[in-house]
Amino acid sequence: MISSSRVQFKMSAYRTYRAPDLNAFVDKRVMISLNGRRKVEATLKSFDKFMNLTAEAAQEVQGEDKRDLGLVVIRGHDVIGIEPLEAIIPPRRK
Amino acid sequence: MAEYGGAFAPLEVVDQCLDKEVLVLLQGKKEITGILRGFDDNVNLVIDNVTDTEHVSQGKLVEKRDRVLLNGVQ
Repeated sequence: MISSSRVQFKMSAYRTYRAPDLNAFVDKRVMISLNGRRKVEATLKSFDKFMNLTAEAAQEVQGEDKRDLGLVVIRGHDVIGIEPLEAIIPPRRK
Repeated sequence: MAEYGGAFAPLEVVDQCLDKEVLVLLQGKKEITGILRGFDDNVNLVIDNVTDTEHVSQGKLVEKRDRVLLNGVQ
């Protein structure tokens, strides 16, 4: 156990209610990895604090097969990761 | 593009789908199509005229149900 009198660890409760900063990904083509070995390629349109996502022109990628889904809402519960498929400007930490 | 009336938040989009036919993809190779009647913050869903499809190695297993409460907590 490490203890220091100089460093104070403060966790802001506010941080848990903030939406993830996905603004850099909006309107960009992304590959979304989902629980249950699913991958969806789509254009991200919106998100919320639970990481629920709205995406357009979605295609479920299963190996070589692509299945068109159109407009989708994805539950944040099942989102593992979001990978950009085109160049994005990463958000600046303030 | 504007089919969902300019609403962007994910649950707003689900709200626009009320009384319309939806396709719900579940974990694994299961999916459900039917008419969405209701939902809540946990994305529990009430769906009518359900066709419950499971993709198995030989093809598909299809079942029909009248009304389904889909547990959103999974």
